[in-house]
Amino acid sequence: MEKFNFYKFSPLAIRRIKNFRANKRGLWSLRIFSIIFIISMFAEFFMNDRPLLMFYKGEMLAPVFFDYPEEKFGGFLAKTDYRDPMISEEISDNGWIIWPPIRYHYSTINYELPVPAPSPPTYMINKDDRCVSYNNYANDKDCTIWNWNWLGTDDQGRDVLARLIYGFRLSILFGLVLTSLSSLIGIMAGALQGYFGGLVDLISQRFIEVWTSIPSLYLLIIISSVIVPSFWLLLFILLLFSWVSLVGVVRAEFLRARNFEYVTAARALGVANFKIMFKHLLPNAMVATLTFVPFLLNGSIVTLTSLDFLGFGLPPGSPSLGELLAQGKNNIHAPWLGLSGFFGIAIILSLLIFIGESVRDAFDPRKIFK
Amino acid sequence: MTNNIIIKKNLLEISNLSLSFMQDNNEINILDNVNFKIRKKQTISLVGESGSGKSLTALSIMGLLPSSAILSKSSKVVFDSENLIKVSSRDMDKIRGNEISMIFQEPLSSLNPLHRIQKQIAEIIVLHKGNSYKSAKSLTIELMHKVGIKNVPDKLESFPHQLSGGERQRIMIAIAIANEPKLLIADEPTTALDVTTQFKVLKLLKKLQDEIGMSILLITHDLGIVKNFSDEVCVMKDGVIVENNDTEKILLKPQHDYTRHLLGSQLEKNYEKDLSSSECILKVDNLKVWYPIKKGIFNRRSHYLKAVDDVSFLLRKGEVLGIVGESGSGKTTLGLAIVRLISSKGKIRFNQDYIDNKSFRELRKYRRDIQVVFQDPYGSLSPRMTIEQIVEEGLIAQKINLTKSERLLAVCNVLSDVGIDISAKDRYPHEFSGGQRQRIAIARALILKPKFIMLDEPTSSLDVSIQLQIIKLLQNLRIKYDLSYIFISHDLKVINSIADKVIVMNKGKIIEYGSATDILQNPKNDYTKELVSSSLSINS
Repeated sequence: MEKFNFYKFSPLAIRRIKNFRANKRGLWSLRIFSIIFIISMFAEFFMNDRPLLMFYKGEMLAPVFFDYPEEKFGGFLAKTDYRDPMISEEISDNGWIIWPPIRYHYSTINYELPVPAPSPPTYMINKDDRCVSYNNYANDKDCTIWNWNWLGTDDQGRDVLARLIYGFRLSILFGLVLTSLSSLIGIMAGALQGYFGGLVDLISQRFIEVWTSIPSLYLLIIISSVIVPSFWLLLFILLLFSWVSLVGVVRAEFLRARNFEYVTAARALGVANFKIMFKHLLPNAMVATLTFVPFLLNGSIVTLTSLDFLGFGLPPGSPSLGELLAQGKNNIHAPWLGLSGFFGIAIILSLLIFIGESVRDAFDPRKIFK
Repeated sequence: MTNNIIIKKNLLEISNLSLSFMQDNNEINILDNVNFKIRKKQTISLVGESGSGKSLTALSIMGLLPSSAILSKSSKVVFDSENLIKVSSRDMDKIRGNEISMIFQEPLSSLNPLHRIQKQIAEIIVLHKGNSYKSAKSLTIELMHKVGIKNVPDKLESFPHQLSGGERQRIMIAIAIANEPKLLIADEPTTALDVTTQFKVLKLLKKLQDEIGMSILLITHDLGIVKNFSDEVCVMKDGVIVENNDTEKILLKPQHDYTRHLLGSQLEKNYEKDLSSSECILKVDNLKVWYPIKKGIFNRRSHYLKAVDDVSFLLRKGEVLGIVGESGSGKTTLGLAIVRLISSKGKIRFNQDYIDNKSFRELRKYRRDIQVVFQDPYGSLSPRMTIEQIVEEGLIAQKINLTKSERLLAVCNVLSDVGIDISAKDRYPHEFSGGQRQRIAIARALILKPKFIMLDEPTSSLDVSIQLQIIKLLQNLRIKYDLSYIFISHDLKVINSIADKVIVMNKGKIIEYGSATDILQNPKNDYTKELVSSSLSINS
């Protein structure tokens, strides 16, 4: 019995799920987003410069998980470059190789470019021209569809599609971590202010007013001109300023609900303050908060992208959408850079907004009457 | 020939009115074949419990039904020999507010908060008589005098929130009668008002009816009002008029079971016990709740709002102490201060301990013996918790060591004590009716086996017959567990039926304090006298 209750959705939740499913745009956005998200989470299996699995001299190897020294295959590098024609020939002579569908990692430099980098998407070049850098030209066994640069390469000869997918993963993860941390802090701060009110509220509100008036972008630029920010440092600095965005909403919800009769009743039962906040008030504030979260997520992604665009973001070499956009700006003659960057970011943000919008509608209590 | 006369005499004739809503492709009948007539200058009241379809009947006369409502083909609402259902919406606009007016229950939300009173009254005159706002002013002032507003020049420029509830309802009446309508529909016009104000507003309506010669359709659930103010009664239940007759005949010889049930739901005192020798459980001395009103840039405390001022009383074990007063008299504040949910000055002694200077944490162990039940059963239960979770919360909060199954047993016991089926424990509050929710709230208070419960208007938002059930339940529980209650109410009938002693409060002070029978039967103070005489009972 106990177990069943846990899985049983409340009628409210069922109504919300129903509402969400009724919104076709939101539902499809969620589906498309989930597919892109899952692909990018397992990007190593879809686009990599290492084979997924190979069989070499009676031994089963999984280079996608393990590093093997190149001397195993007759080379001299510490890490094997499986894209090297000599190595790949050696392996296929003594076994077989299974490659991912796209044989580029975000950091892989394609040395067989038909034209100097940035080179256009491979399908825009005819077969003879596109194989011009390979040893055997058009007859080369590596000049196949598996080695295409579907969206061209950037100005360092790296595959744009690979960078886009890896960049998508980085942006989404950054956004998710930043959003969840700032919601956590924001909800706690808002809850304390709203619940206790009075002097606590007054002081915190004034502090937040002062805090938000610090120009965070300039501060970031100053910091990153002194030290090169890593993923976590960047996250921390952005977190310093982004937690305030939820405080207002949560505080208002708590201020409203703290005098509800069921809260007073809980107080009369002797329930402790923090328990009241957690059990009685937070679920109320959750609705308002949840509707904000997708927009907060979008905001985080945009902030990261713009910092990368300006060159103050993640360390050089990281796959980032902002850096792609910056390259597009610097290489106007290579429109595939700017266009890929633009559509990449536009599609993520739109999907997230559509999902967020339909979540908000699903939580809207007025929907009952429709 | 005779037929003609009847048509002339009837101002409004409703026949075969049936109304339904579509929900999930099911047709839900709300009104079923409603028939009644209103003659000129007659007051007819429509009585029934909430959800019986009273208000929808009124709205269908006004043509203000929600668009999802479906009227049956045979429905007829004939007003002045015109079928209002067939009238175009443009012609209906000329009738609404002009020939038929309506007053709503909640005067604050029926007035536009952004417009001054003057404009709100003048608007209806301008709209229907084509006057300019300037020329409507004298008529506006005249109307305000007519509905008994004092200090008219000031009030003309006031906004709705600056007026009291009674004044707002008077303004609503002024708007309704501005064009001397033939029919006034009053939908629970006094439910939101205090007893004394209620009485005055109803008297005003009666006076205006004589002056203008209008008919009134009075929608109410209060049989006291019906007895004193209406000529004829329609009793409504589940969208059907079960009985329709002269007021006196219905009250003396009700024909239908439901009418008898409604009349039988009147509260009467049925339990008395001598408590003068029992021990004192709660003693309150010179209790004060003062709110400072700060002024100026230095927040000087210029004066205090004395919500509760110098209140002393004592409560014996097993005793019910009623606190009566109008809204704003400080009775709820007093109640909350006694159970230490708001801060106060003065001594509060519970059993042997003074609890007035204890901190929130120290108070926690006293919470087991002191419990609270609130007015609004819709607001007092957390909407996201199941009944079991709500009721067992006290046990968990008080850290009473019970295993899960013992806790479940305690919850089931207390639920059956208050008459809730234990199979309902996994359901959420919104699945219950108001009366059931109030029972659950009582169960939550009861599970800790308190010695004393503070009941803050526990029956005010309930229908009469449910009120009676709750009072009976409280009475039984009191006898069973030897509980003491502080029972706060504005309703003297309720207080009379349960309280042993009564405190009458006005403006934060105790006006009268003594045995319930003494005070309610021979009030000494003028204010108490007014309260008692305004209370409309069907027995008096």
